Amino acid sequence: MSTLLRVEHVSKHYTLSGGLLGAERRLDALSDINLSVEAGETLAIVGESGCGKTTLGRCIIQAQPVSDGRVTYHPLGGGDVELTALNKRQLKPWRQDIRMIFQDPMSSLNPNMRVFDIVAEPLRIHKIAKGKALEDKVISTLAKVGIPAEAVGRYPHAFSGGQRQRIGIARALVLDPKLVIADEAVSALDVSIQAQVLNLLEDLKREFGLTYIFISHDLGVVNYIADRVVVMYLGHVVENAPTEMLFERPRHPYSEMLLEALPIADPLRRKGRSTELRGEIPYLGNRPKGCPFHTRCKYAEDRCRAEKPVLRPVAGTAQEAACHFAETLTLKGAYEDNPPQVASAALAGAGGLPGRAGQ
Amino acid sequence: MTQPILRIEDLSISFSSPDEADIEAVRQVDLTLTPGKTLALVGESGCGKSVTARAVLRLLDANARIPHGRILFQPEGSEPTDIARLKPDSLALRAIRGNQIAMIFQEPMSSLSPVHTIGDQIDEMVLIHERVNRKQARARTVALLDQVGIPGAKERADAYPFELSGGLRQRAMIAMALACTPRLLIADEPTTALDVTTQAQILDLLRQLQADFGMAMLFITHDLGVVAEIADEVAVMYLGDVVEQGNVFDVFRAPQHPYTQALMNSIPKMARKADRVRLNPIKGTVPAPKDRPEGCAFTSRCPHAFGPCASERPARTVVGEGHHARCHLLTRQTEEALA
Ligand SMILES: Nc1ncnc2c1ncn2[C@@H]1O[C@H](COP(=O)(O)OP(=O)(O)OP(=O)(O)O)[C@@H](O)[C@H]1O
Ligand SMILES: Nc1ncnc2c1ncn2[C@@H]1O[C@H](COP(=O)(O)OP(=O)(O)OP(=O)(O)O)[C@@H](O)[C@H]1O
Ligand code: SF4
Ligand code: SF4
Ligand SMILES: [Mg+2]
Ligand SMILES: [Mg+2]
Repeated sequence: MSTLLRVEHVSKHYTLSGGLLGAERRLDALSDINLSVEAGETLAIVGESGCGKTTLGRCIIQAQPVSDGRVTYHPLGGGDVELTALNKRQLKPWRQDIRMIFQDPMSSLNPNMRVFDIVAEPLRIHKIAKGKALEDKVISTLAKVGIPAEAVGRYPHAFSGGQRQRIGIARALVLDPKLVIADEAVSALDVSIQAQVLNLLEDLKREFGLTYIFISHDLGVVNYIADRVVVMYLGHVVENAPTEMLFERPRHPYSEMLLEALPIADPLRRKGRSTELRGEIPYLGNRPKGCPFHTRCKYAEDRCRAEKPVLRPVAGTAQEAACHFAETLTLKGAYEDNPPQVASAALAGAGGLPGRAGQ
Repeated sequence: MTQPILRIEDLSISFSSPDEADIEAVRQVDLTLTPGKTLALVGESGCGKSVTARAVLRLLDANARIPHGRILFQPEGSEPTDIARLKPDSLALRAIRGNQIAMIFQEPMSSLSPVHTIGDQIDEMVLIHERVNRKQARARTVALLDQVGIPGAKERADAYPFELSGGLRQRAMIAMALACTPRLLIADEPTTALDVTTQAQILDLLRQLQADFGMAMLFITHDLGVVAEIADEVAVMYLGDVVEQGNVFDVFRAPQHPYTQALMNSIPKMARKADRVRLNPIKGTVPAPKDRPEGCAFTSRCPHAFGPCASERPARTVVGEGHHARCHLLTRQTEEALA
């Protein structure tokens, strides 16, 4: 496989005004992100709300400038295109290859345009089709996501949330892109339509070798669709692993926490008050020293508060994790038949497993 | 038994449109909500969940009508009011909206003002509902933001909506809805934009508030995992009709309507790649409301459809204590048993 996109040392910070009196503050939304996307793979990005997933997507498509670092695109025909070095005009041809499906459909669909024109607009901008060909392309793309032809004259507000989300998907797919960044693209869809859209994305991938960066908080969907998963926490990549390995045995305590919080569709297995409320989510503008996760990590030790772990390969695995103890911790996965894990005696003895009892 | 706070009976809602025939988005909805309990409303995208919810506050688009049905709101110790008969901008309705019934909307961006900070918007709500000065209102706002788990609540109150991530915006919306401690909270996909740990926190928070204030909740979601986690009761909608309502345990254990059964079967399993099967969505696609069969809306996709389904509307049949479903199979079986 060849690398399609490379993100190197990307950082992004925002400056926050401090209200009337306060001083300006810096919010680090992304800190030194490194990752690569292989052609034809589906790379999922997961992580807590506010950890920087959308920001990363927007930095990749250059909807906003990076503060530091480089994003390089390697088109299938060969060559290197450093997206972060291009101006708007130079970017335009590549905007056809790399498309983003935006998270909040209401704010990304122009409320004053009819749905037909919303989906036709990219074809017009890139001068790809007109007349009957344009019409056919628009209608057939909308049909693929389940929006019937007779509804294309409506404005966005006259659709349901899930229908709007699908209009956003059609708008991204209509240009036959090479790389699609899907930001929570199926989150508002019920299981049945979600299955149709996921099957559609899989078919396109098989047929046209599409590559996806799939931002989602739904781990069930991620397990189904992704080849590899990047787990982010507070603007950092904390784990990067093949999907099955992550779900089998995560190597970062935050990944374990995410898998543990997964709701199960069975009222008899209700989790009730989650044990995961322990610890504050630090505010991005006020990040702790040492490991960014230590304020919530049940395995944290003194070293974690002093020394920041770097993302590194975990010995003996194909996973990368940013945790000092990635090799020795026995973390719990999510597959339903997972044998119960016996916590290591050393940790249990050190009282390192609060909240574990009674589970 | 506690008296219901909201009863929706035989409600229909249609939209007129300049270049299409009228769309009967909601055809037959019956729902009952009880104080202190959560009713989850589930169903396919576009089946009419949000429209039903907005009808309760009469916040429908201008091209909407309510051809028939009642929306009876009855807080403890008062007479029932039929919201369907009130004028959308009447005083009576404004007294209910935001004060007794609050709503969290599906897309936070569409209900937050982009030009005011979230703190100012929540302060406003607090000032309308409580006799406090600006400074006290802000203290309450910060407490609310903190309660819904916004880190750095005090500083974040000064943020504009666009400066917040999707999930933080959603939490700000929740804080705003809770500002008046409503008797009934309508939450339209409130955790859809949230990651699982935040989602678990919000569900805990809502449960807590419910225990503290005896609030009733209508919780719209398509995530059956969330339903299993939070609901006391479940109502299932398909193409404008409520086809089943019952206790969450009964509905998950023994769904009675073929659509509910299909829904339960299409939950993706946490399986390894080797054991993974292509997702098996319900066959066919949802017809447009105008192509909806006169009888059971599910006829065109139902594996059990037979004689009366396409033309006759199935009756609301009791299948257990507080458990109803609308399907001809249920009455056929009783008829056969009687014969
Ligand atoms: N324009 C902006 N100005 C200031 N802060 C911003 C801006 N855009 C995003 N942020 C902040 O940057 C952080 C990362 O935001 P981002 O939208 O990338 O999160 P996310 O991971 O996509 O979260 P979610 O799952 O909730 O969508 C958040 O704390 C957010 O409030
Ligand atoms: N103003 C309008 N004019 C015409 N049709 C409308 C209007 N508003 C909603 N609809 C239609 O009514 C139906 C029900 O929409 P609603 O928003 O209630 O769906 P929903 O069940 O909430 O779906 P989702 O899960 O996707 O949010 C949809 O088919 C939608 O297209
Ligand atoms: S480095 Fe320490 S605090 Fe950070 S995740 Fe690992 S054990 Fe937890
Ligand atoms: S009434 Fe008929 S079509 Fe409808 S769900 Fe029952 S069997 Fe299926
Ligand atoms: Mg986001
Ligand atoms: Mg909706």
